[in-house]
Amino acid sequence: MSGTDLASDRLADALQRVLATEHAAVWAFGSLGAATSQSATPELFARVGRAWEEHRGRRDRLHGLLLELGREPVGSEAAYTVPSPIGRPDDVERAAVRVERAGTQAWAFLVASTTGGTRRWAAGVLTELAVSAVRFGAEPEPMPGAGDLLPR
Amino acid sequence: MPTPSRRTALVVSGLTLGLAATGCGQATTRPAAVTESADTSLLQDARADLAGAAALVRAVRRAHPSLRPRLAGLLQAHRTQLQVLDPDGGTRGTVAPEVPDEAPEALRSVVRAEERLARRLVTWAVAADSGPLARALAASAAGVSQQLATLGAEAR
Repeated sequence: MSGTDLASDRLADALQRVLATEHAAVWAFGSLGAATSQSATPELFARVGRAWEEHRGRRDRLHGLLLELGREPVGSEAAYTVPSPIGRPDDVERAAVRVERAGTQAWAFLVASTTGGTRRWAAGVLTELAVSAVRFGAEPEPMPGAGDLLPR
Repeated sequence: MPTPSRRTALVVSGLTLGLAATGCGQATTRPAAVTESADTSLLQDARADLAGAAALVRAVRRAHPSLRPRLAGLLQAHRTQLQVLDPDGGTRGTVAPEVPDEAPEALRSVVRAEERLARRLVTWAVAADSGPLARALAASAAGVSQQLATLGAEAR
């Protein structure tokens, strides 16, 4: 296997892992949207809807990148575990924080695994997810997605 | 091949170890090599900018005690980021911070400096040869952006 092939395999592997995370996020935010009342909590409903749209966009772009590499993109699972009890707005926000934080880890991994324009995109998404987590009520972190680097 | 500085070696080593602990399949995706000569300069710039941003936050908090609570998280974030990126702690900001007399303008000066810092951290992340270093820089940019989000629109 050539160095180019190996690099391509590594990139594809990283993209597949992040795509799997995005499939789960799309599903999770779909569930959270269904559990959120547009009339009772319109602002939360709108935030959840935006997050769902953004995750769908990222999923579709990852899908396209993998096709460009000649790889078969991983599909979504038939179902995912419901993030947590999501009966109240607080539950929805907590679940959204968990999804976005999981996303920061995946996209930070993609930053480390890519170069150039794809890395720039990954770094941008990492910031978007980190800010989204805060808007859903997360405490800020010094290095979202890279908590393993922090001093113990 | 140039010999990397001790501090660069420490950071790259630390970041590599950190990456190995994330459980994201690094065995197959870790960048094969770290071009330390290129990343040394980039890392020095990032450290200097982070130290400069932290110095401005400290100066603003000293000059305007009313802003201390709002800027506490930002200062702590920079301290932690510097602990990761500059474990020896030797970097200082290159320019003495100028603090506006009025608290709202001082806060806006911090926001402008942090927005610039976040953009530069992303630029360095993209330019880094080392994937682990890129991850640390991009994560630091995301951490700065989180702090900016908590400061609110009125700070702009």
